Order: sequence, then structure tokens, then C-alpha cells
Amino acid sequence: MNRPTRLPNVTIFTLPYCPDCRDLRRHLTARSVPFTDVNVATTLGGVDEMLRVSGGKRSAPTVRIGNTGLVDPDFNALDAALRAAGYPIGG
Amino acid sequence: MNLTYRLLTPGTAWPSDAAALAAAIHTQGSFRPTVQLVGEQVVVRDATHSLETVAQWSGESLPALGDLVERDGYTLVMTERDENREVPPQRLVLITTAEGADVEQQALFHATVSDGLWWLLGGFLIDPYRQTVWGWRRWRGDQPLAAHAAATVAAHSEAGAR
Repeated sequence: MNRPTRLPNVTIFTLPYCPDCRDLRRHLTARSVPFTDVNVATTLGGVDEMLRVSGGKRSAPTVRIGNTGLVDPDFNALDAALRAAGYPIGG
Repeated sequence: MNLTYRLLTPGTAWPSDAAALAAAIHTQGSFRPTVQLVGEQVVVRDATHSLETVAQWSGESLPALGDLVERDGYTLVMTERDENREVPPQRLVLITTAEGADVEQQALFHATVSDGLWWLLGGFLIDPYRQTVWGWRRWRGDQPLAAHAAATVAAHSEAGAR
């Protein structure tokens, strides 16, 4: 019997008034991908954590899937990374 | 000479973490500022260059973009994406950088601090020297911060000479 595989956590680093961040939330929600949303403007240490994930690039949204960081990814690249991490994303 | 910009923003509160703003500024250039959130003000200092910028919530009524264009002669420089105001501006921030020994460094600090605050708060930057209302994508995409700073100095000097 196959044991269920634990999928890597998805964390997104966002800003409250960023339209690309809103689109990203909608995209992940539409694909039923659970995620943690870190608002870097209001979370202590949020910018520093985002910079660690992005390799020092100040950019929102930044996405962490397990140990993989994606900086302002387009949705094709995001879906590919999610599939590679084991998420059942079609396409 | 002091330099000022105004930020028309949907943000209604300062970032909760002074270090967030310091990092947002530091990643865009050589400045390593200290940031203090003091009530209605944010004070950003660079000890190396003896520069200080103060951002404060303004009590002015919010200017409409249309009025800035039609009444005051401003140009809107923004992409369609910038113009999409799903969340409308709520407050106005006055950003002032005090005169420094080196006007180019002062202007670069002014542009860099404004850029960092704007990145966190969102909205539109009102640049009185070039009579321009900037959207984020055009501000970041048209030229680097050093070029914005140089253009600010040139436009300020030209206005002073008239």
C-alpha cells in the first residue's frame, strides 16, 4: 500500500497593495494549493525572510515551495514548480 | 535645498517593522540606513553621508489624479496595470530629505528612501520637480534610481534658475 506523500509547504511573500500578489493568491486558490501568506509590510522579519528566499532580490510576490524559491514567477513557471514538488496540477 | 515627494497611497499605517523599511532601502543601493518609526513620522538616517529623510502622514486632502493633470499640469507616467486601482488611495505621505553636503547623494538618498517606502505602501509617487505622477512599473522600469535622482536635481535646479 502506498503511503501518502507529504507535499512541501508553499509560502508566498506579498505586499497588501500589490496586484501581482492578488493574482497569485487567486491562482493558488483556484488550483487548491494550500499556502501561507506572509505580508512583508506587517510581519516582523518578513522582508529579511523574503530576501533569503529570493537570493537578495526585493520583489513581491516571492514564492517558496519547500526549499525552492521563485521570484515573481509567471504562472507557467509556478505550475511547473508545483508539479515538480508533487502537487497534482494539470496542464 | 530640501527635496520633497508626495506619495498617494492605499496604505493607512507604517510598516510594522522598521527593519523591513531599512532592508527595502538597502537592497536598492549602497545606503545602510537606520529607520525609526516615531508616531506619525518615519525618520531614515544615513550616518555615512549625514543624510536624513522624514516621511509623515499629511493632513492635506487627497489630490485627485485628474486634478493634478488638468489643474496643475502634471503628467501621469504609468502602465495600465499601475492604473488599475482595485484598492484606492487612502492617505498622502509627505517625504522630505534635508539638504546634504552633496546634492547628488541627497537626491539619490531621497529617491531610494521614497522607493523603499513606496514599495511597502503602494500607490503613486507625485514628483513636483518633473511634474509627474509615477506609477510603480514605469518608475522602476524607465530608469534606475540614480537617473531619477539626477533628473530630480536637474529639474529642481532649472526651476530655481527661472
